[in-house]
Amino acid sequence: MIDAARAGDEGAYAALIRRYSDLAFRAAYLVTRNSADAEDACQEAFAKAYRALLRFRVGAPFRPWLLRIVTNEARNRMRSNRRHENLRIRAVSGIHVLDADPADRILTEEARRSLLVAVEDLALQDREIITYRFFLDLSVAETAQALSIAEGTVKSRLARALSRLSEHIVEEEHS
Amino acid sequence: MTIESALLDLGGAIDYPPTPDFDTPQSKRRAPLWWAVAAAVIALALVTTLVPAVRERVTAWLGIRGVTIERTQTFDPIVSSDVSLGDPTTLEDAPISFAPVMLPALGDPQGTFVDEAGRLTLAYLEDGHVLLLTQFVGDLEPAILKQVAAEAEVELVEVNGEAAIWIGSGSHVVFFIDTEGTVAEDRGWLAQPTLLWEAGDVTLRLEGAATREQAIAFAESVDQ
Repeated sequence: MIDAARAGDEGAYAALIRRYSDLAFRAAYLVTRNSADAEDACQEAFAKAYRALLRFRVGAPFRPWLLRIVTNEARNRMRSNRRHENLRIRAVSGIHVLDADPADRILTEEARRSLLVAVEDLALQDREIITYRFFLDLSVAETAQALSIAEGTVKSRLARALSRLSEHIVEEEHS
Repeated sequence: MTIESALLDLGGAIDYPPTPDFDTPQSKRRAPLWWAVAAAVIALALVTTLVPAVRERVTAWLGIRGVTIERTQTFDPIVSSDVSLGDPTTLEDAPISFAPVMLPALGDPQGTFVDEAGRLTLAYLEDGHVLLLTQFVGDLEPAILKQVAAEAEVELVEVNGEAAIWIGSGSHVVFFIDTEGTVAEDRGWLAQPTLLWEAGDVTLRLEGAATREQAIAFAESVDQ
């Protein structure tokens, strides 16, 4: 499909956008925290990606390459004057738990909220790493490429951010 | 439960705003009005776009970086629909790696384009004629190929005391060479008279000036 898009097939390009638009928009939203900014960032990133497709190396992974463009566009819009929104948790409705002990599989809503507060309290760099790696479920390599940093940097920042989050959770449990 | 799996669980429960419908770049991009004028002018030239039937590789190295000039015996007409200046952008947003050379004598450009190889083309309307100023960082790799008919006038001239080339009357076809080094033969066009020169690291080509003197005057109004 990427090859077809490269060859100028607009239908294939539209399909590519459809396939990645959720991921791209969520990544942009995690950075900008404003849906209008995230939409602008994605629209611009898709246009840039389309123009840059000719330079895209055949066979290289497309998803992190696109996310890198999206992330750069989103970062450019971070300082816009638009209101920054906090992440919210979906209202829990009818979670089907197959396991005998649901606590092993999912967090309680309260625990989720508490963990989200801890994530939101992280410094910007750490928060980006955590949200890209876990909220978008990207591999370490994809996270590195999307954020334009080395894999080693991703690993060290992840370790640091995770230990801060753990401390936060322990404090919560003891309070 | 590890902190990693707790974060994955949390990530799955985030309530993102709904993903908007994105346009494809084609449906969003709208060419400015002036471009309709330019397209009409260039379309006339395209009908008579030519490719060399017999290519006699007499490649002249005339010292303008990134430009190769070939003399050819004959041209065969082909029809091309693509002027290949690149995508419309603005000077502020142009994705280029160099400071653009501005020619105050031409006024403000009415259109700005950057192609996939990073070549910047500014389009001007001068007395109802379209002038195209293309610029790029000239290095040893050719970026522009000029095929010049045997009878065409090719002159060495001077711009600000530096060597320049004027390709005046007679058929000459311009091809932009892509990043792979391939000449897109179906995307060449029959060029108007053209001046080629250098300003610092930047190689420039100005197409469409009425006379050699006018082209040189525009080039010498350089503001860097």
